[in-house]
Amino acid sequence: MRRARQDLAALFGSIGRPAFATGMLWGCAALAYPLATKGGYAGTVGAAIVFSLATAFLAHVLGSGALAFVVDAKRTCLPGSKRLARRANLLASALLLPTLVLTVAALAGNPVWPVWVPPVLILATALAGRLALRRAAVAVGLLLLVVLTACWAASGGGHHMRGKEWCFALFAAAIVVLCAALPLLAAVKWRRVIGPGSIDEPRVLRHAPRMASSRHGSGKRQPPAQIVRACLGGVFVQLSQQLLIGSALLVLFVAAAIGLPWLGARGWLWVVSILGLAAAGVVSTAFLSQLSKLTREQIGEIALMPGLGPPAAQRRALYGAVLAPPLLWLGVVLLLGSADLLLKGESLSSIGLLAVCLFILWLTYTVYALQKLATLPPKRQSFISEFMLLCLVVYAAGNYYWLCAAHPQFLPRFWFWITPVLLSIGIGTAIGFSIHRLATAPHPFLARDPR
Amino acid sequence: MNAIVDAEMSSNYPLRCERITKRYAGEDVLRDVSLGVTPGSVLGLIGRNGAGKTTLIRTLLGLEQPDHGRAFVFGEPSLVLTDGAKQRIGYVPQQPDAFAWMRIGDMLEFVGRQYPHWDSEFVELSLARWHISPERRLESLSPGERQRVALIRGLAVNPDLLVLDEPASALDPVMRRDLLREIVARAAESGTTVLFSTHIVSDLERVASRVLFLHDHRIVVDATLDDLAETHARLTVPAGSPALSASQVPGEVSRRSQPDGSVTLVIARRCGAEWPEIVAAPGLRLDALNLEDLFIEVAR
Repeated sequence: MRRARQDLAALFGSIGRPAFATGMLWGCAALAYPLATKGGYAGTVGAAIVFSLATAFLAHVLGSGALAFVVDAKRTCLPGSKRLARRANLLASALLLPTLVLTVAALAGNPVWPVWVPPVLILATALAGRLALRRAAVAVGLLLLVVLTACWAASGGGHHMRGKEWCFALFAAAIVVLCAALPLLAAVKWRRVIGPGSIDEPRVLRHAPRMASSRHGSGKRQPPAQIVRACLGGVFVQLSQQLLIGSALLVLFVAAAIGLPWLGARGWLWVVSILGLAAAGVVSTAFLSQLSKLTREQIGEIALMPGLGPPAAQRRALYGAVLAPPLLWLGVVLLLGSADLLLKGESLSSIGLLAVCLFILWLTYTVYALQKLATLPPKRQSFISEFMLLCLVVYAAGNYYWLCAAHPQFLPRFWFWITPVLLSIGIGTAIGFSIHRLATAPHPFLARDPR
Repeated sequence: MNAIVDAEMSSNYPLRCERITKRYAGEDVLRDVSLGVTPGSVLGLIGRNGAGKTTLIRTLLGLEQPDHGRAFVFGEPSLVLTDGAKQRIGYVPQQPDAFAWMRIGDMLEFVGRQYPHWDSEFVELSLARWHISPERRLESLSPGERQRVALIRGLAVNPDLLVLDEPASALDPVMRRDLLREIVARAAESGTTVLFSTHIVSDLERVASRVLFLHDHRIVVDATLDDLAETHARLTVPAGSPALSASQVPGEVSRRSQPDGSVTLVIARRCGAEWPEIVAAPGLRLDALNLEDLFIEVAR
């Protein structure tokens, strides 16, 4: 028992954090569920989506806790670190058991199609959250399935498709296979961006006589932000990983555009916005997980790399390298989402709403990223940022649920206005605090953790 | 005026620190450490695991901020090094894992662009000599191979200051010998100042001109290798000897009780100075120490 407690403490820093987060999540879901039940089956599915997103958040917290522990274990280089890492992952997965129990119970209690759809959605979303850090493409696939299934079920697909379940099964299988195939793209030998502003330069370097015959270096320096990006590695520079994200987003939206009318789904704003948020979440997670993998040695090597200039220039380069790339991909999400909405005849204000939600998500990413940079090497998220993300997820999901899926009459004024104001204050404070911390350090690559 | 004197003093040393104290979670990791590394010297930093070697190196290079004290590299405060100073430093960390996503050749090409004195020929020769294909990805290398690549990278900079944090920990004996030969050659031919930490005493004896022994978070021995045998010795005091009543022997570095009740002390004196009077007391034995004996006596 004591050993299990120690493992849990090692995994989360303190038992209180996940316990509190779990309590909050289930509390919010419990609040949403009775409201949803008044909307009939569609409302139930809507509530399942709210519940699913909350579960995805919990799963993400568990997954990132496990990842942080794995990184810590790796850093210590002590014997048994692999065993500890395995145990951490096992624990994080085991904590998803309640979701599994819920699904099995639903299936056992009422196996009649399509009553068990919501619990299955929850299970799938939880798994997606757990996988998001390591298998972004699989997570995207699962989330896509959740959204599609929810839309289909909410729009009565369970009735008018009765007897044609195999169509949906085939469609779902195709998506899963496609998503599983996406990682194979990474195996393709894409050239990497290390040259100044050109992805072709490495090829040029390769075909040129290696290690030029002159004794000294070429002296062609890169811009500081590019040096920092190269040092950060992973999704920040590797075209294969970025293409993976791009392909996943494209598949997500194309599948929605083609698949949903076929399945008889309705409520486009709701569907596309949820898709947009899910996609943006995956993009942000991919970048954040790369930041989490940085080690003291890597950071030390960045700090001693010439060409970064004085500390102020180093900070600018770091901000540019870390904060700009996700913005580009969120722009892609906005573009695809807007196109989808316009094609389905939605108003421009709905595009504005999607843009605001994506911007808030980018700000959330900024909070997380800056916090990681301010505590290099990155540690687990602070409780406040976890709590903020929880509020954001519940708020965004709740908006769509109340606005489009179930009961506009329940939409309280404070939900629309007070919550965003409070969130903005929270996000602003967190960003300000992190920037202040980074700005007051002699240079931004100082290690701040004990060995 | 003081600032000018400080700057002049610092610029005479490629690496210098003054009274550095570093704490983690309230516990001292470095306690009041001061040192100056003279140009062209090979300084070996030795100590047990957790003694603070890596922290000292990182603090000297400005990768960590000390709680007290200052560090300088080529006369510049190490926390705000200019690009000019960084270009003169070659640094090989204990676990080199930066740029793991790159191929070796691309990484060396990329890094080489930042250094004006990058030696491409040396890179090419070293890769061939150590049988490392530039086409391989860094993440696919074994720890030993990765350390070799890091060494090539650190040496190709043609640094004025070469800092190696346990460079031989993952190397086989042949590679280790190659590395030590390279260090000696660099120091002798190019006047490179070298600071390297290690657990392996024989490595230190082979190349270091000066030894710094870090124990219990502070420097307990700072001497040239030649002077070490003359300035440090082991004093064995038998059980019950009145000499033991002395609270501390002059020049005492460490003290250890033996199972038979006797006590062994490591004592130090200045070069050319006499041993303290207590050494002449009846029953006491004074033995010369080599570096390994000294390490074991102090660190155990």
